[in-house]
Amino acid sequence: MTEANVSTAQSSAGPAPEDWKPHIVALVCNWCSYAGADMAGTTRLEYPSNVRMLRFPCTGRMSPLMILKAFEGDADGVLVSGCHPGDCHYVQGNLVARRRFTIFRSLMDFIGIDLKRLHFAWVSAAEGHKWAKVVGEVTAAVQEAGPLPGFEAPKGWDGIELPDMAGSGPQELDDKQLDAICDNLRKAATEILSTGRAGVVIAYGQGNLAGRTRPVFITDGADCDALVWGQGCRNNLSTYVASTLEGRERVAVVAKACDLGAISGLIREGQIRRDQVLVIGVQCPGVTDDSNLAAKCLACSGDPHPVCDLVVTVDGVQESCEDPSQATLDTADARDEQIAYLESLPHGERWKYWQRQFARCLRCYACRAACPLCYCASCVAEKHRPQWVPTSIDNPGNSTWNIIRAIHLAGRCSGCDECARVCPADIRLDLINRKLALEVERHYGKVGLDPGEKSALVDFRMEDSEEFIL
Amino acid sequence: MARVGVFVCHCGENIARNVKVQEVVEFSRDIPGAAVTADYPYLCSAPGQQMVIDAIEEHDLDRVVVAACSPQLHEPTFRAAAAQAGLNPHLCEMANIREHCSWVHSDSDDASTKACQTITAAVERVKRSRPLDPIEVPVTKRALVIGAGVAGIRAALDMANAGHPVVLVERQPSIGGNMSRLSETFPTLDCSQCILTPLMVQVSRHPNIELMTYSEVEDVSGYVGNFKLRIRKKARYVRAEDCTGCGDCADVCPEPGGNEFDMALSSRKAIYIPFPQAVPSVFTLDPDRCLNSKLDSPTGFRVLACVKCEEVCQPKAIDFDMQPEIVEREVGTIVVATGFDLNLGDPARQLGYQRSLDVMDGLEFERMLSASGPTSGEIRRPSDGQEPKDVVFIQCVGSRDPEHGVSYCSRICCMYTAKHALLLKHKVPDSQAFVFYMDIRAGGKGYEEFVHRAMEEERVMYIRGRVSQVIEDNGKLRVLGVDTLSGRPVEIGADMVVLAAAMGPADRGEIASTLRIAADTDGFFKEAHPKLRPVETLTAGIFLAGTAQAPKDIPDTVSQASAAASKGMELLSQEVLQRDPSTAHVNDSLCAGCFECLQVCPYQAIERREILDSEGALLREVAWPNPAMCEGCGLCTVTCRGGYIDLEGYSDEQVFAQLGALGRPPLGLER
Amino acid sequence: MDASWKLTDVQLMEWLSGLLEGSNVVAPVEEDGVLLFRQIASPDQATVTPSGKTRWSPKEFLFPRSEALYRYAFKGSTVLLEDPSGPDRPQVLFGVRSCDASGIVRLDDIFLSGMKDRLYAARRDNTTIVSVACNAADPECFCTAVGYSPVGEEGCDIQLVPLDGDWLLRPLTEKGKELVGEGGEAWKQATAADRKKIRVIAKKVTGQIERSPVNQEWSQVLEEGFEHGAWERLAQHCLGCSVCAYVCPSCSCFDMNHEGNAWCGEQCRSWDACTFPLFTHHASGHNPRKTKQERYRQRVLHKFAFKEEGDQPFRCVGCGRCVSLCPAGLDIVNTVAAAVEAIREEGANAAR
Repeated sequence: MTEANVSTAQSSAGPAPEDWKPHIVALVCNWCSYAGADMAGTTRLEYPSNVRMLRFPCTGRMSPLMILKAFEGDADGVLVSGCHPGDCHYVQGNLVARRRFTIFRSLMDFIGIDLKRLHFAWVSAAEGHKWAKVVGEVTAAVQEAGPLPGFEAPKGWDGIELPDMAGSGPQELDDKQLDAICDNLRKAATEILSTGRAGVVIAYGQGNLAGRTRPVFITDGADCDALVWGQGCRNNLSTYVASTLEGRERVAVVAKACDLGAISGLIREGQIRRDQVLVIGVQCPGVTDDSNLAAKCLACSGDPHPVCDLVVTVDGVQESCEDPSQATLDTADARDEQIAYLESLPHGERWKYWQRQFARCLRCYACRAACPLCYCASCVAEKHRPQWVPTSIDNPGNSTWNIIRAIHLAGRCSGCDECARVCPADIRLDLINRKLALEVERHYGKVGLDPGEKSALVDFRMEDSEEFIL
Repeated sequence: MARVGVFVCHCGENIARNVKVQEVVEFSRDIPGAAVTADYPYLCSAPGQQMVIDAIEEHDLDRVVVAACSPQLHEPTFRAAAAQAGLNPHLCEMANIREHCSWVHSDSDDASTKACQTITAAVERVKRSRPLDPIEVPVTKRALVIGAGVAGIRAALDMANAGHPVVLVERQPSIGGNMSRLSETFPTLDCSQCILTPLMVQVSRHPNIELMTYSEVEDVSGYVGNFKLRIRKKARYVRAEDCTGCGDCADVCPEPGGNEFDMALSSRKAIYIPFPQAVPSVFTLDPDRCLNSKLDSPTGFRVLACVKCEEVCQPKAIDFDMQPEIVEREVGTIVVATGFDLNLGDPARQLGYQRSLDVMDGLEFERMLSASGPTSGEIRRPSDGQEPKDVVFIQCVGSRDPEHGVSYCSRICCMYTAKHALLLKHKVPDSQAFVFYMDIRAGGKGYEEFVHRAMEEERVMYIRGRVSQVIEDNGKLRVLGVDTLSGRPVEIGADMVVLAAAMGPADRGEIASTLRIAADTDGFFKEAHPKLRPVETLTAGIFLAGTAQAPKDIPDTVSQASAAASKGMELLSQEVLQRDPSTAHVNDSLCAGCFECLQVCPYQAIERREILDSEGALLREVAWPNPAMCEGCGLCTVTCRGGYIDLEGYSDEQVFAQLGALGRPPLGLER
Repeated sequence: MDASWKLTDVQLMEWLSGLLEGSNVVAPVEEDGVLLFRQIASPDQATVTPSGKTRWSPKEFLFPRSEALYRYAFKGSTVLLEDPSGPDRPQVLFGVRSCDASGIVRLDDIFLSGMKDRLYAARRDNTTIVSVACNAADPECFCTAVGYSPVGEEGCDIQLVPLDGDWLLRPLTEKGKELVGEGGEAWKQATAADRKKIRVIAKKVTGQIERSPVNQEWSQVLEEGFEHGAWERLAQHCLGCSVCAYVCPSCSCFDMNHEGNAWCGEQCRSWDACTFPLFTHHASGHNPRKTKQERYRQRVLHKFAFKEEGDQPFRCVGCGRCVSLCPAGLDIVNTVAAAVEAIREEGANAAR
């Protein structure tokens, strides 16, 4: 619903009255925590009445978005509770869910939801006392946190100045060197098309504005002169691979090092097969974001990755055949300092920071369109029964969209920054992606280039960290 | 517009004391979709149910919400009532206003407000419920029993005797399990092998039992009523059908080593039969011991140095070229009876185990006591073969010790220790037995009397307290402990020490993961409900028997085996099975084919299906959850980013509608 | 020409300050490095400059991204219906570029012709537009190529023209005159020489725009070549988002959805775009524009063809935002030129 309606239909905003009581929604699994709450009843244990319960078959059925929905429905706090590890009625439901919750929780923290509002617990069917205790603790914590801040753009707020990003970027290439690379690239493309190694080469062509390029699809070796190389080659062309494959055996795609993770993700997720794509890695001078070097380039060497099928440099064209499963991408990132700075601020400031950006979101879905890994035939944002993402283009709806986008990319995002590049509202989606990538890496290890690897969020280990779970 | 009937139960005073039922009924009248509201003192009573049934018929209701106790108690009751009135049972929903309201919130305003909102959420949910019919699956009329100890044997025999074909798989060369190692059994002191071997023979001769020893279940797929198995029959290198069990081969075999059946207190050859009464009575060639295998050749037996057994075997049963065989079977139900191992970790080593030859565990002592054992039933110190006079028995070694061992009680140690002490006195009349114990747990028929017999008739010295150390000192063992009743330290010079070590599960997770059944933190298989479904697992069609589920004695093991067999037979006696229709469904026109759902599914219920064009060319692969295998956990549903998978009974629409009703109620709309 | 004034920067800001007393003033504001129209509380928040555009047009202050058409709540067994409240204070859109002002007139064509859109009309009546002529072109600008002008007066109630540090203030409509009233105390009357500068600026800016013009006749060509195969190639790299439509001053498409919970809800109208597959998706599952090429063609032709009368202005006002912000580097003017060229060369019915 539109913001205006939410605020008139629901309890009025403003400072909490003295007799304010928190409203808490609890998502509980049927087999353990619901039964544990039953046990608390059978034992006649008194606990605060602020909690409204919603029964699920398993914590594995609880989408993080349902937690978000509860907040949007004006809950001041959410409690998620299920079976202890090893006790799951469905063997592993709570273990997969635990990873989802870990990452979702860090995202909520990052966008400014005070973690006093969001709690997770393992309560077994026998732990009636624990249920009563958990509800008591959660209610006290939410009481302390106060009413949920509104999903609205902050008024009269000066904003936050993030620290500058440092980094020198790839080795500088002069015009002569760039021309040499471009010549080699054209040669390679001509060769690929003339020998039939691929039916089409997806590459960069001259754009209409200065310093810009556009994707070109070359099928005739004679057209390879249209191909360009330079700092304007910003797009991640792997976005086009699957659609270009229609009616073709194999496509060749020009890829910078930052584009490779997406290709491996597409293979991992069954969208393309390794043999359907010929990857042309090219030595990269770094790309510009209008006049500045893009953030993702600051810590990048620009060297083409050896897992590419062909490697194009100033010196020429080489065939390559390195085993991708051994390869990792360098993850030093110039943004980490900005993330750390944001995290050093109080939740209220972070909330304002992101709500102001989400207020700008037009819901043009360019972030989704440009993302190579957003390949769903129909996005969940388009689902109407139920309405997963509110259609209204305002802070509640925009927050939902941006959070769900981030969660859907968690553990999968390859860090190509296309979403942030194309955002007309300059929303720092790259910071969110990077933050979640750091969290995934910290808890579950790094996502490499091996398409055979399982994504972190569909996997689990019994010993996964869970220090936040009550 | 849905026509929902909302029925509010007083549950006598249980609900009505704290929830203002009349106000709740008033409120419920205004919930969108509520066509009828009523209350009743006890809705679960026959007239209460009749009121619901009548209201459905009279007011043409198409949905029902019963606001009463926990659905865990009476959901089946009211769903049956709804069905009686012609409604699909899944269109009946419960709102828990007793356990979650009246019993836990004494402020009646708060409890009533919560009740109102809980009912609203239930109405919102049931409005979006769809009628669901149970899923029917056919049943393969054969059972699998994993493990052929006494539990597996009993379960197999019960089902086979009832006429059901049974596949009985045992990993060891012979069936019999741990029970075949025991000497006498408490409290009756009848001979273990004497009562077990007739059953073993019955198994081997039973026309309905297909016995596969020296075999392991490698893979299980499918679902209740329709499991598909891959069983690996290890190579015995002896053709079972030809072997007469004469033993000529073992006589000439040059390679002796410890016999694991006797806990290595005796020796056996590389070609061996574990014990004289083994079933099947067929020799097995141990590839790890046979001289030829030491040649470290990739082809193993093909490079031969020693062929003595082959030369001497009259029926030509030895086959060095034998390969493991993979056998496939289909069964409808599975009984898991994989048994126990002793847990001889740090607590046992602390007490001299493995440091001193004369410190032994309970099973070693059993073999020593057994007439067919390594000492032919005589008690001898392993170190010097002398008859021990002073023997110290220590209970709870590792059990009830969460810091060093396990937290649970192994249940049988009190009894077998009493038995050991008593048998010691029988065999060495001038000996003295000392028992260190924490508590005596002798709950069982004739058990308490048995312990008293040991204490009073046989003068076994019971010392309440723990032993801190066992020190080997000049051919004697100094046992240092404390008598907690007198509060004084105790030191006993012993000839032998027997440790009642904790029981642990024999399966170290392999079977659990093959069958995809849950185990508790100690590794014992988890029952579906500790009280009401103690032999079922949470995976439909798989049942538990014996010590694989928890430590227990023989009578309990056998009872549970029969119970598991009867649960299995309950399944096998049906032509089709009905399953809960709360399963996942994929919108295959939108499925993007990432198959992450398949990766998270605990039941391998998700299959790849090909979508073909009109000419039969492959367009794409999509996910398809097999409703016969889906247990309805919803993991896939959340994994699907596009939201193309939904879960019947817990659909996204239902959940979102409930969330919409459970938010902070708008001003002016509060109760 | 009626009275026009020459104001200093300070005088302009004083006037703006005065406007705030009686109206909600919406002006370009810099937020996190992005220039956007925002309601301002004080004149110093506004960034009024001689050239340069906001990231997207101010159309959302007349045609909001989302608005409730009606609301309902359940009370007992009855449903309470409620109309959303109309504007309470007059609104001034301050610092609107000529292209954006023209864009609003293109929106008027949609929302106010024939059946008037009640909510749009109420806002439009309540709004006065103060535009600023451009004295320089941004790299993506091409208003002159599509028949508009950097100093265009269409849709402007008052026009501000930058004059080397000062501002020429020209009330153009009754509404504009009303807003200015008698002018400020120390305002100087503008001279003919000042007014002449408008043409100088127009000429200068036109010279900065290097695009070749789109001819009116092309509309006909484009419509004839609707099925031409070139469209397949021209939009191959379109990603199917709606940046172009949402930043566009004249795009007016919307969708309506019902949203609510157990207690209350609303019918909500939100921006939508013809570039989205769902836009034309029928309930039956059929989609008359099922490829992104068809959808992109729709947008281009809606700007440059599909006219009721031949001399209607293009619905593209040449702000160039869709060109600079397109994630795939699509360029609407180039597309039109290339399509026309292909249709003319290969014939309107050339196969795909």
